[in-house]
Amino acid sequence: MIQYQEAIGRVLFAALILLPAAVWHWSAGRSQRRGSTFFGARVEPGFAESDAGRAISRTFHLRLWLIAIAMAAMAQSGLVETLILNLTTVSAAGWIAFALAHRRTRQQASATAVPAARVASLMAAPESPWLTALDWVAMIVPVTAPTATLIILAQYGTGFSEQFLSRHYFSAVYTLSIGLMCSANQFALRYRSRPSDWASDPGASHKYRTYLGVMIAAVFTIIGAKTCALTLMDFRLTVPWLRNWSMSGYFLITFPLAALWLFGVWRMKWWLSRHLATESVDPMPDACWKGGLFYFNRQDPALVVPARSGVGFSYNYARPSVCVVIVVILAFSIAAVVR
Amino acid sequence: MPPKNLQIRVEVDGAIPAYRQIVDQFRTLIIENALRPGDALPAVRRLALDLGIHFNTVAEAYRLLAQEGFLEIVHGHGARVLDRTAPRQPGPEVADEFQRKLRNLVAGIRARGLSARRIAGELRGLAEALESR
Repeated sequence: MIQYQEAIGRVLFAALILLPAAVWHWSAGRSQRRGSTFFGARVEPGFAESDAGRAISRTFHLRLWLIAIAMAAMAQSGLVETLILNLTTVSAAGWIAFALAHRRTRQQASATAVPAARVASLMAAPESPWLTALDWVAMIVPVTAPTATLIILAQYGTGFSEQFLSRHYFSAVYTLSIGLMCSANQFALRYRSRPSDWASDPGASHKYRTYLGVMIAAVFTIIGAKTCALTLMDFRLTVPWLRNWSMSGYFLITFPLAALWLFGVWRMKWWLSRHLATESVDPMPDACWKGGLFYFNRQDPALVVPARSGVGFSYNYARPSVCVVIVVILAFSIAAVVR
Repeated sequence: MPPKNLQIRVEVDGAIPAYRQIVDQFRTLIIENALRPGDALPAVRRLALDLGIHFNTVAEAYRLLAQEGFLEIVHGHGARVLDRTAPRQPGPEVADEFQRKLRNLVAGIRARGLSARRIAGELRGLAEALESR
């Protein structure tokens, strides 16, 4: 019985390692690209279906899966067992394979011209109050649990050792920084991105951006809430109204939330497949896309733009505010690993 | 709010600077009455985002239009099209600026040798001409 459980565990571990490769395969495949781009480069219509396009696509998938399978095999044989290392390697392999495919596409395809003129409408787009409320929920909710945890720690933390408290404070502050990143992300999607980049219709664009931000906020809220719940478990005997708190309370709250999130993902995919314009409306030249993946444009005030790979988005890494947020998150992550 | 779906087009790689293209198009829209007095213009940040150009470029265009008397910029409330046929109420800073410039001009001219009597005569003549309009 134990052997079976171990075998199932190993299979699941390998599946988890292959997951980033599957995401790359799905997101960078020919069916997912934005209309006039291929591996992040502007190309003439029909290039993806040409022999050259198919060859580039094939090489990309081959490189991606070879590395992913090699990592999964190494994990099975016990050579590399750290999950984070495996996942990071497979994700990085995806980036490198994509960047190589992007370079080859730019060499082989004749690029289509960047639109000569950029157009802005002077009419104010009507806003859905439902989406606006959802935007604000996604901006506020990710920071509530860590903020409440910090308040509880400040109020009931007296009497504990400094080392014990500093460990819990660090967890709460780290979770707060991730929550703030989610809020900033939602703010950027709502106020600092070009609506026409996401869809030609302003209403559809707002809906797309809100759904995207809400899903990201939901994932980090659930992870952050778990960290906060674990922190508060240690203070059950000190905080009167936490006496009956247990982790089953956390699971009772988060499982329905996770189910809601999965429904949201499915709903968004269904909705996008019917409403989004498939043609790329990206008005920027290829030179702004480093490796076809990372957007870098000093002239563009937008903080977030849709990814050319077809799924998700990229930050504008030329904006100082984006760099500040990334540096803060990286500093916290490195500190967490070092501790 | 503008009555119909008006658009601003900017050619980023064109020979004319982007701020000048924006000024020219807004001026045309106002003179052709497509934008009417009281119409709100999009916020600087929104227009800059839509066009993918720097905030300062759009802010500079709005400043120029305000200087030309086409727009009124109220901090925190955006920009509105002004009625150019109605007399505008100048703020106290306009009178202050006029007084300062006039005094500097008179001082400069006196330093170059023109007599105070002659300058006063010129100013009196100017004042009489203004009042007779």
